Amino acid sequence: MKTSAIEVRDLAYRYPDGTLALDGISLRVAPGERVALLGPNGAGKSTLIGHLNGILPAQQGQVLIGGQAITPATLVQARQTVGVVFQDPDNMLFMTHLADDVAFGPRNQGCGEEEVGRRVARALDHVGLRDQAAKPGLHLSFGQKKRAALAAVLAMAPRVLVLDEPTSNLDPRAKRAMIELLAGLDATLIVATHDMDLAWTLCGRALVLDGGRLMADGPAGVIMIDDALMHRHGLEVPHLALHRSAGQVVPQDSEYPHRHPPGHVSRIPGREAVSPQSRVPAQRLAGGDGEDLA
Amino acid sequence: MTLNPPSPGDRSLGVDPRAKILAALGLIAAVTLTAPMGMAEFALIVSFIAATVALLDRPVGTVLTRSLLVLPFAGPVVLFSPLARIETWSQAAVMEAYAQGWPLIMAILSKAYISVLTVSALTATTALPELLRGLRALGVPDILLGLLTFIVRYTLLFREQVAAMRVAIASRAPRLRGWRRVRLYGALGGNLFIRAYERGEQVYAAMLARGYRGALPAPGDLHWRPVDNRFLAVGLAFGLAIILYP
Repeated sequence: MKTSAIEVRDLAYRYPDGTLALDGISLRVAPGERVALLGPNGAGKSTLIGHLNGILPAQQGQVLIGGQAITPATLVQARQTVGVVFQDPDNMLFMTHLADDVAFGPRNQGCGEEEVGRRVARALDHVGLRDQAAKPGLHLSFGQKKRAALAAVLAMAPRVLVLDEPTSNLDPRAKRAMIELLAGLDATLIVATHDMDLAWTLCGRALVLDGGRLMADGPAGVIMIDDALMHRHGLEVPHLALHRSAGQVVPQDSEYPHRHPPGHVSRIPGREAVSPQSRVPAQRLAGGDGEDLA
Repeated sequence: MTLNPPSPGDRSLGVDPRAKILAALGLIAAVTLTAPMGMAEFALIVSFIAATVALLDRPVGTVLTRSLLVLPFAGPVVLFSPLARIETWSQAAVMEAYAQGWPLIMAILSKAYISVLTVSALTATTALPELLRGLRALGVPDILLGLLTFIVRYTLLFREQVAAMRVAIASRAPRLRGWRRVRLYGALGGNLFIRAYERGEQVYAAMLARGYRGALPAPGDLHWRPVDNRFLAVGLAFGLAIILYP
């Protein structure tokens, strides 16, 4: 069996105030997969993201990156492999110039200045912010900050890109631009979001998290149109899917090219392209609330 | 320390940060270790620093004004300094102490102002990353540089939180003025620190996620050039002149 890009085994995490944020989460993400991490507020999405590159240490269970468990010895490698774009871009832009913000990751990776310069230029080109390189990151518009935060992670050439609410607080145009950007990436994607249309458009697989437990895992086309499941977990069926079922718009899969990555995808700066893998089949989840999604 | 983000042109100022740091340290040492200065000397030193700032294409007025921030901190200390000489307390003794102590007050204030002005000039003409590179190249330990960076970042976060809270208060209590407003800000002070601290934690997590391991990455080597020799020589010569001036 091919090594998973990310594997989570029986992960549990309790915050110091006693809140059980994750409760026995197990999942595998194949290289090239695009996975939507769905769930209501407080479901544990951000806590799970915090574990995927070792920001939060596993209290119980394991997280494996490329088959290798995250331990103090492998932490640096894990953080190079898994890039996390946090929800609030202001938390990621702390240097005096945008270029320095984007260079922060590559420099920590030990890249030489020439390589750092190349990566910064390519990452900023990729998100359309090359002309803002000399500006302080804090002076950008919110949409630009979101893209700048993405560039800051892309410059590290991660194999797995984890995004926490990449379209939150964006206007429709900025949101479309962000979706196009993400759709063009060849990395394994894990997108935690409440934006159901984003998840529907971008991801072939959906995970539903609620109360720290994994409630459903399967093809987005199956999970996300299950009205009862969506409502039970504080979610809703994507408008795009509703339009399809109501006959207002009858898009075929070909009209959502991002759900099934096209043959030609742009490369993350500094990395070889990854072939998209087939979607993981739907699973019946032990310990969930009994939905049979297969 | 000056917290305003520097303008994009900072990297082109051309003087190595090490030269600026050493010249600034030399000047501060010369000013603080020598006898009290008169008004003429004070004006000459301020003019020299202002000219340097102007030469490096930064706003002189802003630097001069910003340095006045030292007064609320140094003021109370120097105001009470003449009282230290009183042996027997009486109204007459206090009057006498202040009559004789004004030169001391002015000397301390002028030295404090020039020291802060020098640091302001340094930070106004040097972007923070450059300043950190210079300090690192001069052998300042990474832990101190990390602390300095976090203090700067924390201060910026604190300012952001204050601004956000001011907007929130203004929108819900637009008529709150004067003492009631001050009391409210006082009550919210702790909350402000907690909010800024939490933001700081989130920033730290984002730094960890991008490979931060306790030391800020150095953006390449510095190159000492003849212009740096000249800059440092002028700065140190001026400091030496202050020391040697009778």
